Amino acid sequence: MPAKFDLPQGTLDLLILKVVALGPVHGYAIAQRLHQVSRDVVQAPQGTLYPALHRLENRGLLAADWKQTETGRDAKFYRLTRKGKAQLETESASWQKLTEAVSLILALSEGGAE
Amino acid sequence: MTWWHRVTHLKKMEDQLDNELAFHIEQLTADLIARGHSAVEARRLARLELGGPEQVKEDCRDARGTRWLEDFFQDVRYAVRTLRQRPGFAAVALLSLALGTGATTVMFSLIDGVMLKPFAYRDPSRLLRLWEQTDWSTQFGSLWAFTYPNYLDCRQAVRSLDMAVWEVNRGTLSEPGAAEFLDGVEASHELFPLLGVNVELGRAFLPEEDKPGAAPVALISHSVWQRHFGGSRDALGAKLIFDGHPYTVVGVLPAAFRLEDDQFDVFTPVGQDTSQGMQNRGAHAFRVWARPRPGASLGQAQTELTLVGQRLAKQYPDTNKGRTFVAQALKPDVGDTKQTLYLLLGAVVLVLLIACANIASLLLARAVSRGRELAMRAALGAGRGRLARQCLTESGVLAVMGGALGVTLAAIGIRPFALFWPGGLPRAQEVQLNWRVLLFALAVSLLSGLLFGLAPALRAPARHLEQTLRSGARTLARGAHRLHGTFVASEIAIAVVLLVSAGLLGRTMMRLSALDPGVDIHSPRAPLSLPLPWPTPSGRERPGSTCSIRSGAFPASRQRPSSIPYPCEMAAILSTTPRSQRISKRVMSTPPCWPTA
Repeated sequence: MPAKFDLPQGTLDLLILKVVALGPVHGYAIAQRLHQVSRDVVQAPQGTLYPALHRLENRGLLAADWKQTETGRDAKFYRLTRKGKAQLETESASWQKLTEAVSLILALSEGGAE
Repeated sequence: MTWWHRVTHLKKMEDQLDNELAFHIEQLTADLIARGHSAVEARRLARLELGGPEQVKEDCRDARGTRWLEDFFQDVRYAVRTLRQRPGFAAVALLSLALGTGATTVMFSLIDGVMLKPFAYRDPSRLLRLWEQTDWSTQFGSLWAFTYPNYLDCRQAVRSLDMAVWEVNRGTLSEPGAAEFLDGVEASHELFPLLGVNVELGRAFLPEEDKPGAAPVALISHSVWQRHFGGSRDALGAKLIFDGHPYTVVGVLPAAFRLEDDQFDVFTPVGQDTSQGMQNRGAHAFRVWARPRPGASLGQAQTELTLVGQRLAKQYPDTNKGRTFVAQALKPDVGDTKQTLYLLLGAVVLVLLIACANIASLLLARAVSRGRELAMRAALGAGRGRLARQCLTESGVLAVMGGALGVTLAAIGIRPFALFWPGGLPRAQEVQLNWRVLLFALAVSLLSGLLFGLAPALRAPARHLEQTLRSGARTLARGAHRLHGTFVASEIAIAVVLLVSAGLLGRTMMRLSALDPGVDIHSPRAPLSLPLPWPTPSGRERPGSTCSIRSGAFPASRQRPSSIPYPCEMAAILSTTPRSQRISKRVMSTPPCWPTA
């Protein structure tokens, strides 16, 4: 079993936005999705998930409605607002940039100075 | 969702939070059971995965962003509860606060009404009053009212100001209706446009009416319109005899119209007055009001005024030597009431400070007895800032409640206070509780709350928790002792200052009331004064208008006015009542005594 990583600061928000962008979804499903997609590599403690959801809702990036699940149970479904969508785009872009820069630097050190 | 919505739906939000987390645990448990765990084991694992439910909930509440407000409401509720548990303490604290803030509020509303409230003209902050200023001083200072020729020169030479002039002109309105002695005004035609005052009926003066020999016209006040013309529209164009002269009424002024807070009843164009005073550069009877023209500054106007002053001083050295003109903001003239009001405000602020010190020491004593409770809270994880905030909220609640009581006291007390002001309060009709006063009261309450809440809040425990918890509330810390001593000392100091100044003030008042006015005003033979409509011979020089009567037998006389209701022993006729502040334009040289017994 691979070692689990703690999420870098601020990335949980980005991941949540990405998951919610796929369609309205409740908190438990978000936890499951994060769990599956990251194949147990990324450890998002479920205790931090809900405060993050509420924070994003408070900032107007997410909106929430109470709807019934397929099993007929009431659950709080989150969806992305327009503001959230914009935030997701800028954040993924800057994440992309950051990781590219980091891997570039790593590659450089392996190749040595020319 | 706005924060307002979040606050008003707190209960619902909490329920939803519970539901959301319960849903999560349920789903997780179901999944775990499906993966082969036993029901009990699955439930345990699910809870473990989520973490402590209360902890998660707290984090969620924090994330909502309205935490401070929720805490605040909680603190307020708690504060009210603790106050109700100690009714004695609450009563003493609230009462002293109510007295302090009430007195301060009353004083502030007096100051607000008398001094701060601007005149009810258009854009009053830009209005100016012009004065003649001499480079020597008399007992009345160095500012003089204008003379008419000086006004005309200034108006012609100063380009940056719009000016208007007026003077008081008291006289008898003899027709229509019963004769009545009234306060009138001679005003230039610019006055009403300058002030932005529109007539209620008819029109104001025309420029061509403001000249010698023009058709005599008059404006009347709303009350004269009601009393003498029955409020009829026929008043326009009607005849009116004022001071022995016939005028045609051309307009009625609104009921609320005042000049310097005084109500005047008959207005005539100053330019039609051809009496000697109009050409006299020594007759300082005219008030000049002005407003900078668009784009002009006060500095520009002042420069121009100074230049005119210098030119006139050279041209008319007899009257204008050492005399120049200055512009000042047009403010209500309240005389020396200003100093008295500020003095009293200072005194009541001291009273408020004493109240604050009192409550602070009471709170401090209570904080010591509550030391255990606070230490317990700190031990349970409340931060020092949070505890201080709670203490301040408690004192704030106390302060606002006390302030509300104080405002109630002020609302009841302000009318009698303004009415019984010795010698009559200028602009007393302007004194009232308005939003400015309420805002002031709120600010004073919060400030005093901060003041007396600070000491206990700063003492909120942070260290030696264990010691405090173990020792209980038996011992008073040495720091608290010292603070207590400081409060007592400062209270006594302030009280002594207050007592001494109150004593001095009282002595001054007593001396003032014991002052000999030169007239025996206390005997049954004291003189009375009464404004009389006086039969005026035609022409401007009337014998006088106010009659001072000494009680006693009033002998039949050839010219006895029929309306004197008192038996008179002696009467004197003068145009200005002795010791009155209003000075009429024409002062009789020697009041003729009439008739003598």
